[in-house]
Amino acid sequence: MADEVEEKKETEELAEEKPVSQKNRSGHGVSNSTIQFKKDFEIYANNPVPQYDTGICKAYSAMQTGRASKELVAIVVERHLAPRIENISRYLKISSPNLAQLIDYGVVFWPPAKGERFVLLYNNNFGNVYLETNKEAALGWRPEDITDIVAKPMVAILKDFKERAFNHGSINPMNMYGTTSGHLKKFVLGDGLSSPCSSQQPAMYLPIERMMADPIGRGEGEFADDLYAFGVSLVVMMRSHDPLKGLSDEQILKKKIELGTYTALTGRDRFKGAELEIMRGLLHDDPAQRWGLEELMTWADGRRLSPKQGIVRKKASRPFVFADNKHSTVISLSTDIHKNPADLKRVVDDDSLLQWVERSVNDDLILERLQDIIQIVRDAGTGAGYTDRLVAGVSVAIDGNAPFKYKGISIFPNGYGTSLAHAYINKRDLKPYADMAGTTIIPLWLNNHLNPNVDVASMFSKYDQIRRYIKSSRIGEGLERCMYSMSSDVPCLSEGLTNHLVFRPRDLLLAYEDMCESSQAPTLLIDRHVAAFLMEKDSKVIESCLYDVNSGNKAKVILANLRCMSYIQARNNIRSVPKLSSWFAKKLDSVYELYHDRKVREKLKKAINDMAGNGDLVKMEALLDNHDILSKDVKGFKAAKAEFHVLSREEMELNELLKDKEKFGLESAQEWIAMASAILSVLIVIGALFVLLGQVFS
Amino acid sequence: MGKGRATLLLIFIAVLSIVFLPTAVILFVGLIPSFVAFFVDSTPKKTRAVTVGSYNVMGCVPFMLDLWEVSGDLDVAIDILFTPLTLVVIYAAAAVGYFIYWGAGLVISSFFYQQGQSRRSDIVKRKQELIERWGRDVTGVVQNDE
Repeated sequence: MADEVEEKKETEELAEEKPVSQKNRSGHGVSNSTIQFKKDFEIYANNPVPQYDTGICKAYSAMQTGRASKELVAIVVERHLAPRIENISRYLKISSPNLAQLIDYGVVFWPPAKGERFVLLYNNNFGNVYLETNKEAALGWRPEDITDIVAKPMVAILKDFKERAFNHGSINPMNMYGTTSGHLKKFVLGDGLSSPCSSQQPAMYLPIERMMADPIGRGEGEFADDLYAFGVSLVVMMRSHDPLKGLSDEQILKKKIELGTYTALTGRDRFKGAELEIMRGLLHDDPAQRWGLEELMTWADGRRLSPKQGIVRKKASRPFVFADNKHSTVISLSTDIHKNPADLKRVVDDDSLLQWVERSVNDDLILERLQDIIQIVRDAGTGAGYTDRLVAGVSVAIDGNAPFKYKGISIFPNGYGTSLAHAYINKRDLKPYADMAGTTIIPLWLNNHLNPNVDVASMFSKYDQIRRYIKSSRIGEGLERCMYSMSSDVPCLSEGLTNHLVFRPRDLLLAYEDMCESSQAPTLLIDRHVAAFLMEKDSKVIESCLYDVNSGNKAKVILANLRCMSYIQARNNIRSVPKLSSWFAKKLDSVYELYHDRKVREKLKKAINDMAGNGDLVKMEALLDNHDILSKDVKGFKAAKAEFHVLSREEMELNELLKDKEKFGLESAQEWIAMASAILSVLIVIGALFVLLGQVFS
Repeated sequence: MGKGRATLLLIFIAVLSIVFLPTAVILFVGLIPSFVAFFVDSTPKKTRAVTVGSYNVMGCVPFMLDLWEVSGDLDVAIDILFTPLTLVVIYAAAAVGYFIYWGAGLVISSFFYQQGQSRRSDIVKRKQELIERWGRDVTGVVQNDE
């Protein structure tokens, strides 16, 4: 069924000629508060349903109209978040009554925001949310009910997730539905596609190592994170009070490190039997010992496993004072390092950190890693950037599961793309990201981290790639290319597309068509973002144009823009973009000037103006980029130049000769006369001889 | 080589003059204007000398015919020469040559001048056409940016 939905969607989109947003612009819908989405859906902007919000993405009531009328919930994705478009096809292949059923999705013009937004439409079979935001995270439900209604269906869903390589990232009771008057009746897991994986997940539901990363830099995550989040959700559903109530995320993190996740979350609540098993198993702080799908399914089958004991963290024999805080474990220290880079430099340079690890922590592996990394960082230079590199290196040395930390940014390597996109949209400093891409800091992390689930080879390959991109300032490369290559969900962030959401080359063309219709087209279509975006999505439409785009020659640049758009039109079977082609027709003066022959210019101009209304960029490009015509023009121009030169010389000579009227041509005339006279003379002599001969013989 | 040829030619003419003495006498006296024209002609191709000489020869032809018709003796040649009309006709023919050289030259050179002016106009027009069709770049003059 999922395949059918996908196919139907693809066919419909190909058949539709108009830009997506044009169909939904205010004025096309019923009213500003009722937004028409595609043919069959209406979204009611004045009817929010906040219980279905996913983090900061708001939910609204919606309806599928027509014969198959049904109530829906529309999740409208915030502009600065990248919805998980690449995961939608995987999600659609999972069929479960306990999972939010995705009906449709796409880009819509959202009048309240006066711009385009991505929207996900779910079947509204949710019921009430388990846990409302700002309510105490302690539901106190019966374990038996939770096991039957929530846990077993959740295990089946997790099995599907694992099979489809899909990480949900938003498993928590605020995203679970199915209560009636506060009583558990059914279980439906809500949306997990509207934002980057785990970016909206409350920190408590994340493992310790993932809590340390910025929300937007958590990356795609792992299946183990979903298992952990499920475990935390079970605790919240079963416990009767919240021992972490009122604590900040940082405080919760410290509690988890200090007490272990299970103890920190359960507080004075006591559990036993099957529920103790599953919670201990899922909430184990050592990723290697945490329950996987196999253990979970064994538990769901009713077979008992021994409850896991919590991790016993090695406490140092004496605490280490760092930035006025006492730290008894290396993990605790690692949470403070990036906040106090100057202090870190001091404790590294004076060897007090190494001494503490050697004498008090008593962990040879950590000591060896720390020594190696400090040496590597020092070898790279102790000048500019030394402290920042030290932070990055030391944090992974003492906590191999920690995220990568650099200049106030804390991310997992596969969260680089979304974090960078977030920085672009919010106009934050981009230099740290350029540093990350251009130096060996991240490979240092990859070489020293301990998480067995990270695909190191793939990450190394990606970072090698972006290191090449960042070294070039050419359009199509640079930091923009790094971003798009590291996150395939990020829309095109070109300044010219502020009011449009572009996820595919096809969307780009239609967005420009829409902008031309409303006279909002930018000066030029291909900027750094567009070029980098297209290189990642479909390099065939842009690669051959990049040289000309980078050339700085006005005619070549506009022609490259046209060529690129024509390739997009051809490869996506978009029949007509009349507004865009008319826009191009007005911009081609410099292209006509490539041709020396004014007659050819006029013919081309006329032909282009005639075909502008048809919207066929392919034909326009073929006409203008015709090498035969250009070659003939060049040859003709060379011949004309040669002719002009010859004529100029002749004119100069003539001018000289014509100065003396009396003598002009006199020499030639005299030669003619002499020749004529000589001929006449010869003829007369010959005639006389004949006469004489005639007389002699007669 | 040129000098050698000229010498050979002179020897040949000398031999012919001796062999055909009467004809040579008439030609020698009759072609005096041609000799003069040759020496005063400053044109590189000696066009004046050729023109005058051609008419000069044409003037000599009837009298040489008279000589050849009779016997071709030297006495006859001298008689013909000393007939007043002979030299008048011969030298008048040479004079016609001079006149034609001067007059026709002016007329023809004036014609050539008109042609030259017309050609210049055509060139200017054609150049303008080339500039209109191909732009100022066709002149090959590089425009400096101000």
